[in-house]
Order: sequence, then structure tokens, then C-alpha cells
Amino acid sequence: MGLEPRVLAFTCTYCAYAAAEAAGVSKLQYPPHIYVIRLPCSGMFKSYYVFKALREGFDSILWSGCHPPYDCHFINGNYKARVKAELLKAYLKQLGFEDQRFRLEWISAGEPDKFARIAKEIVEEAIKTPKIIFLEHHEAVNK
Amino acid sequence: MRLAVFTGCFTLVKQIAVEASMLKVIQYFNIEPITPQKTNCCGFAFRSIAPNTSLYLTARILAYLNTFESEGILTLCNGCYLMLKETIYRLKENQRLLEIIRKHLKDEGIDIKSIPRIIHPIELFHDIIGIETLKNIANKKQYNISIATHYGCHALRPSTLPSFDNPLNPHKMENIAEALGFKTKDYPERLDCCGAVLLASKPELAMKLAYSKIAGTARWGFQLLITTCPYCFEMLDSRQEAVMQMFGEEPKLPVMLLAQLIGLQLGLNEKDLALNFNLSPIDRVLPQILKR
Amino acid sequence: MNILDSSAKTAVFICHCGTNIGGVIDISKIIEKLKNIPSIAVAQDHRFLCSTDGIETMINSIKTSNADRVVVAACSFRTHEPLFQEALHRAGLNPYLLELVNIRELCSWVHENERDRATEKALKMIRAAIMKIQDNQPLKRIRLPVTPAALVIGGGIAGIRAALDIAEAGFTVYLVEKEPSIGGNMAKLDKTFPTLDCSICILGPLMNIVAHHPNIKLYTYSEVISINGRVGDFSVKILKKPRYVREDLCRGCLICIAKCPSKTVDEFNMGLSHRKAIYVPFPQAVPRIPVIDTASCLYFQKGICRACEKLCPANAIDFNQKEEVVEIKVGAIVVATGFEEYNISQVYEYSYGRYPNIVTGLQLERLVSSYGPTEGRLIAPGLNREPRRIAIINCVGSRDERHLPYCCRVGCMASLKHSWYIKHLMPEAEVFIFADEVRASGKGFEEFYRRVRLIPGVYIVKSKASEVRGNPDGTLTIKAFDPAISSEITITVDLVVLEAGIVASRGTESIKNLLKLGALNSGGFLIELHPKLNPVETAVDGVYICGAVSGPKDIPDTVAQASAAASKVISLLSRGYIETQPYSAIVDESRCSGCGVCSSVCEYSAIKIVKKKERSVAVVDEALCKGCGACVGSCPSRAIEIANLKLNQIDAMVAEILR
Repeated sequence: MGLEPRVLAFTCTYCAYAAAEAAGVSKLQYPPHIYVIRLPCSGMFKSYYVFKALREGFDSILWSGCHPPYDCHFINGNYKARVKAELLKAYLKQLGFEDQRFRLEWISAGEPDKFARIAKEIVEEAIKTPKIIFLEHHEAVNK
Repeated sequence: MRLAVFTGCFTLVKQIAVEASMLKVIQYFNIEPITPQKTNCCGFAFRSIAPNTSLYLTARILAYLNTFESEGILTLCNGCYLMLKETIYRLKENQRLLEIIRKHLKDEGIDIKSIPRIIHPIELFHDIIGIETLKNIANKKQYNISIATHYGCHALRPSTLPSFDNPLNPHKMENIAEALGFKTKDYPERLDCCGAVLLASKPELAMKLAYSKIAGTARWGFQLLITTCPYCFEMLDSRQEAVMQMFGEEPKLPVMLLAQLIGLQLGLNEKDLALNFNLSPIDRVLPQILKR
Repeated sequence: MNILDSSAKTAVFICHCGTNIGGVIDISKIIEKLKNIPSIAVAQDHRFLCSTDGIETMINSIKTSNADRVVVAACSFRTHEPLFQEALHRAGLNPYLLELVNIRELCSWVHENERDRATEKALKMIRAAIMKIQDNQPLKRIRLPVTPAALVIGGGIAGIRAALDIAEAGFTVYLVEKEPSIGGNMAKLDKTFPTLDCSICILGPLMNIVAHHPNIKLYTYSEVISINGRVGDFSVKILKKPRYVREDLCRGCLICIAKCPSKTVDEFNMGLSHRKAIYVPFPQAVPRIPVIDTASCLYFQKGICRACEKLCPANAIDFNQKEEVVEIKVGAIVVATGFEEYNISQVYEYSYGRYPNIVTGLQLERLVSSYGPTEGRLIAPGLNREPRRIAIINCVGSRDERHLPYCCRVGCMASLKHSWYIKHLMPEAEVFIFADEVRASGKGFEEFYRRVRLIPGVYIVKSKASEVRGNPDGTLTIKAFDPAISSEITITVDLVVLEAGIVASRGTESIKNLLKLGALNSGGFLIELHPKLNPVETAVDGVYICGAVSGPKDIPDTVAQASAAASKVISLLSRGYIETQPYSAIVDESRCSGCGVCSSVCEYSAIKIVKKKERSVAVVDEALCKGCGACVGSCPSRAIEIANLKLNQIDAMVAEILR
């Protein structure tokens, strides 16, 4: 199984990140293979972040923000993220990535249990999903 | 529609009106009943002291009924209904348990391949046959008869299992009675137990509970009480005289099965609906219902 | 860029936080590994970095090592970011050349049983922060002015207290209340525990001061419909609903009410009586100007009557009055929208709503109140006579997984007060309180408990009542198991009082949405910034909450919070300026094509497309920019980034974690 990191979680400051910290305060436990990066808002979503993380070697990426319709601190960043994330999901599927490689979740500041549960689930799934093997150009061509 | 009908022990052995009236009535609605020949007790009687054994017995019923093509199992007794519903819930939640049970079943040469829908008689009339159909049968007739509904404890409880109506405030049986043209109202004793479950271990207490239910209900001015469960029917109808005399009173509350009431609306005759088996004073209310 | 190549010199400080971090993570091991990296100017640990000693040590180490940026691995940025930023400033560094790594909430506290992995993870998190900080730029805070006025939403005791405190400090306060009068729930109470003060007698004077205070602008029968802006500069729209009575002409004689022929259910008396279509909610209402309720007014419904108009000596009735929208500007907002009773008809076993002689605690307050439906005589609604035996059932809907999991905080004391009311009005009555425990924790509460339970005829059964059943004669029967006598008891009473659980008032939801505040799922209470250290602030700067809207509480705690919120507001308004955190969007004009997508997604209209030389480029107004990053997500050219959170910095973090 190894100690290598598996999952990268992008969290928004006011909801998902607050939930992650609240999970810490409540001492809810989850596996250490998940790393959290704090962004101001889930609306900062760019597919680039997801592709880059997969390319670098993460197994799954979690993008989390505030619940629609009213919770987003910046009004509707979550809607902006949702639209782009759905497009990304369709594209990833076409490229042949497994569905669990990218996950979009809404986690409010009052839901640390949800954060811990998702962290557990996503790491467990990532461990079961085979590692992506990136081929060099000539390898891919000759395959 | 084809439904496997599970009568349960008590109906087969004593409360034959339950089966007789139900079979007659559902055939009117083009439901083909299948009565399996091989069956066994659901194990409700020892559910609390030997839970896994009763679970196995119920699983066995499911396995036998699997061999028929049907759209569900209609249970005639509330106890059997709870056992089947609960067993299915436990097997769905616990893969390991399901595997162990199936292994034992296979040793007997049977297996559970699919999980059927378990249907309670109230659910059958309200959700499957439908209120509109019942209203059409009643054909705008309005009776000046007030009916007390008795669901019975195990139709809706424990509330942690999914159920066909709100366990704390059910209304489907009232809807059925009103669709047929009768009056209903809420009463404090509506969700009280009939006491049947204590008959074997604490018979006096069981009779006391039945007395509280009958006397309590009667003081609100109801003309009739309806129920679907053979055990409830036993306490409230068959034993009403004994129960009331224990407290120095006479029987006072007519009790019928839901299927009997519906059957009367369909114009079926009293013999077919086994109304001669009712021991409560139904003659006080029957003429009014029969006046068409 | 490899961590080894960097020319910047980074100081790294790791906090043990006692054993919170040090007990799980092997910090000395991490320090060892960090020391091997040449660009690390100093790597040091400390037991409590946030202590005076910790800060001093940090400042000294920064100075002596000539570090030009700092990584601190400790707790949440919410707790100590300003403290560490200040430390950098004192050490001569720009406060934004700081990266905080949370190895407590995000590591040691959540991986307590996996020390090796937690240590490895902490090391990776720290290295990632070191990589990120290489590209941090010094940033400057911006000073923005603060409008010297405040908005208080909600005119109950919390809103009244907060408004008075802020007004006394010399600032303009707009107090908005959606009911026709201020006073809130406290105006409905007869007396308050444990002193048994007459509630309206202590509340009334405060209401009157509010009405006449030169600095308070009172908007009753009004609601807040939109809020825009930022701390120090909020633009608020208030909707004044039409009373159909001219406030400038009405003299408060109330002849209109006496002659009105139409009646409807009285909400202030909680459904126990009727009021006219034109009404003042209670005699001590502020302002004492009637309101016409169009749903029950014969003129609005059928075009007839108009008796009030004909009889008003001041010609103050105006059926053509329209709603009005008022726009105001304030620097701070206090939310004090209070509570209401939970809908206990859902608690089926207590049969509320099924029989007439079952009332809630607040309904009992109205029954015994001298300006209530029975003018203070306790009459059981369905029996039409005085009740001789009364049962009070506590915790209805509260402490119940099916309904509200939390304790309502005031029910136990309210039940004792209610017993006192009943015995005071009818000394021969018998009162049975059904409560599995009695919570009397406040000042004077235990003494009041003793006083009430020693009254002859008050019986406290230490058990939750199992069910309430009605009898044909209108009485009610309750069963419970009394542990004191180890026996089931059955009691028949004339009246049942249910102490209902409490939830945030229904108006709270729309305010929560307008302000983007968080709320708890159960009860709808608004979430404070920190439950221990910031009970009246919220995650939104400049917005404060106080009173029952943030959680069930009694009057002393409510007033304390209201004054606390007011003091925060006064501090903000008297300082006169705010300094923003400068994490705003920055445009790289060499990459910007002026496409305008960023401008179109910015919710704060902070980006404009401007012609510079022959090109169009995006320009960001830092005062308006909130730093949310929506523009960053939308830019196709990677021309706009958030300061100190650039794409290459995130890339560096990602790569470093996986190295």
C-alpha cells in the first residue's frame, strides 16, 4: 500500500477548509494520504489544477466548496466551479479516466463529519484504483 | 397482478375469516393469489429470544416463495409482515449475514435469488388498488357510521424500519374508510396495543390491555372498529366478551376486518366474507351498512 | 525549480503546541531533514510559538539568520495569522512573506494513531510551503474608510440593547424590525426568572428610549431586502411595508381599532384570541401607530367599510399608501433576529393541537399576562373555567433525536416560573412538573428552584411524561414512571403546558442568505466565528450576531452578547478605517488580451477593461476586489492571478508533495 500521497483536496476557505479544520478540532480521524490546499473560493476552478495533479502522480483529486444555492461566501463561486467541473468530468471520461479520479463535493463549515467521511472514502477508493502510468511519446506510439 | 399470499400460522389454524375474506376481495380486483403449498412459520413468536433462528425461518419463506413468479408477497398477519420486512432489511444491510443464510438454505436445496416486495393489506388497498378505485365502488354513498381504525403495532413499528405510512401519525386506513363513505376521527387509544403478544406469557395483562383498548375506544362513540391482523382480531373480536366480562361489562364494540368491510361495499355476501365468525356485536351496525 | 536551487533564504519555525502537535509528530526528525537544505536559513522548533517567548525567539532568529521569508508550521491561520504577521513586521519583514502550515488541525489531530505517516505528511506539507513561499511578493495593506453608522436587524431585547449602546457612543443606528412594534419575545412574557421582574416593565423604558433617541432611526414593519458592499461600506435596502396609517399624523388615540368590524386571529397572543384588522400588537407597542392587515380588512378584501378612515380625528388613514424602499449606508451590521418556539404539533405523543387545553410555554405567558387574551385570569381554553390541576411537561421537542438534539437552555427555569404563576393566581391549584432533570445553572437559579419546589402543591416528577391523552370531558391524562416511588403514575389534569424547544426565528434564513452567513442544520442558528473566543463575530467582517439567533439563551446572556456586539461595532466605527488583507487579483498585462471574460464573471464589478497604448487590458480595483479567484478560473491566458497564490506556486506545492 505504501506511504505515498494519493489524494489532493482543493478546499474553499469559508466552507470546505473550515470543515477540514473543524474535523481536526473534533479529532475525527481519516487516512493521511490526503493533502489539503486552501483556495479562497471553489470558483477559482481551472481544469489545469486537476490535470497537473494527475500528471504529477496523484490518484484522485477532490474539489470542494460551499453548498448551492446560498452558502458561497463570494456569492456564486460554487456555481462557476460546478459548470466547469461537470465539463471536466465528461472530458476525463472520454479520455478514459476512471470516474473516481475527480470528485466534486459541497461541504459546509458545519459538516466536519462529512469532510472526514469523504476523506476516508476517497483515499480507500484511490488505493483500490490502479496507478496511472504515463508513457513517453515513443512508448505510446510503439505500443 | 399476481401476488403470493402468506397467511401465517394463526390465520390457518384459527382466524380463517382473515384468509377467506381477503382472497374473495382481491379476486374482485383482478389480483391472482398464489398460495404456496410449502411454507413454514415466520418465527415471530420467538423473535426476541432467538433472533437468528426466526430470521432463518423467514428467509426460508422467502426462498420458497422465490420459486413463484409474482409481484410481491401479501402478508395477512402483522407479525409475519414485520418478520418479512425486518429480515429483508437485515439481509440487505449485512452481506455476511446474507451469505451465511444462503449457505444454510442451499444445504436444504433452496436459495434466495431475488428480494420481493412485502405488501401489507392496508398498503394493498390504499397504494396498489388505489383510493380512486375504492371511491368508485362506494359510488358517493355516505354512511352516518363512525369507524375507529386499528393498525396494530407491527404494521408500522419499529419506526426505524421503512414503512408504508407515518408510524407516529398514520392516515392510510382512515383514507380507505372515508373513500368508502364512512366517517373516521382520531382518538387517543388509536395506536394502543391489543395485548395479543402477551397472551402466552402474561395472559391477565394481555386481557387488561385489550379491555383498555375496547373500553377506551368505545367511549368516543364509534360504531365500528376495523383491523387487518388476525391477532388483533382475536383480542378485540373473538375475546371481546371474555375481556369485557373480566371487568364486569358487556361486549359493546362491533369489530370487523378491513377486507370484510370492503367486501360488503362490493356486494359480496356475508357467508363469503365469513362474517358469521365475528363474535363481537356486529349486528348493531351490519343492517346500516347493508342498506344499499 | 528545485528546493535546492533557491536563492531566497527561508526561516522555518515548527510549533509543538504542547503535545497537540509534538505528541504525534516527530518534530526533531523534521528539523534534521530541513537542516540539510541549503536555502533554509534557520529551522527551529518551539513548544508554544504563539507565546511571548515563542514570538521573541522567532523575531531574533529571523534577524540573526538574515532570512527574508518565513514558514510557520503550527495551527490554523484563523487563530494566529495576525500574531505571526505582526512578528514578521517587528523583525523587519513584510508580513505577507509568511506561509502558515496547519500541521495541527490538518495533520496531528486527525492522524493520531499513525505517527510515522503523520510525521512524513507534516514534512511534505512544510516542504511544499517552502517551495510556495519562494515566489511570494511583499504586499501592502490598503486603508479604506468606514461609514460611521450601523444597522441592527431585529428589535427584540438583543437588538434594542445593541442599538442603544451604539447610539450612546455617538453613532447613527438604523434599527429594522419586521413586526409592527419592537419588543420581540420578551414583550410576550409576563415575568422574567429568577427575579420575577415584570417583563414589559423593564423592557418598556428601553423601548421608549429607542423611540426617542436622536441617533436611532427606527424602521418597524420593515424588512431588509438587500445588502451589498464590504465592512466599513455596506449599502442596504430596507423595505417599509405600508401601514396604511400616516405616521406623521396619527396621534395614537386608537378610535379606529375600537370601531373596526373585522376580526382575525391575534398573532401576538399566539392564537388564543382575536384582534381587529386595524391593530396595535400590544398596549405598550413602540411605535404606537396602528397597522392595517390587508388580509382581514373589509376594504381591501371587499371594497366596503372604511370606518377607520371616517372616524379618525387626525385623518391619518391612507389606503393608498405604498411600500417604500429606503437605501442606507452603514459600516457595520448586527444581526439580532432572535428565536421562536419549535412546531411541537410534530411531537405526536403530547397531542399539541389535538385537544384545546394544551398550550405552549409562551401561550401560558399570554394567558397570565394582564394584557393577554384573558387579562391575567388563568382560564383553560377548552374548559372555560379555572383549571384545578395543571401539568407542565419539559423538553418537548428538545434533547430528542427525532426533533431537536440540543437543550433549549430556558425551559427548566421557565417551568418553575410557570408553576409560580399558577400558584400565585390560584393558591389551591395543583401543579405537576414532568422533567427528567431540572437545569438551574445561572445566577439565582438554584435558589429560585428551591423556592418554587417548596411551595405546597407543586410536585416535580423526575421523569419525562410518556404521553398526553384527551378525555371526552375535556380533561387530559398523563402517564409517567416516577422513579421516586418506583411506580407508574397516571394523572388527570385540566390544562397541560408544554415547554417547547426553541429554534432561530423564521426571518433568520433570508438574512443568512443576504449576508452569506453559516447556519446550523438543527435549529437554524447562525454560526459565530469561534464558539469560545469570538462569540459575537461571524466569518464575514463587519457582521456581528447576538442573542438567541446564535443559540438558545436567556435574557442576561442575550443582553451581554448584545453589548459585546455593540462594543465591536463601536470599536470599528470609532477607528474610522479598515485595513484590507491584500490578497487581490493582479493582472500580468503582457499576457492579457483584454478579452473581458474576467470582468464578466466578477460579482463585485472590480475589473474594468481599459485601453492602454494600443491594447485593451484588464485593470483591477483593489478596494472592490475580494480576492475570490473567479477571474483566475475564467482567464484563458493565465493573465490574472491572486497575489501570492499564483499558478506556478500551486504547481510547486503539488510537485514537492509528490517528490
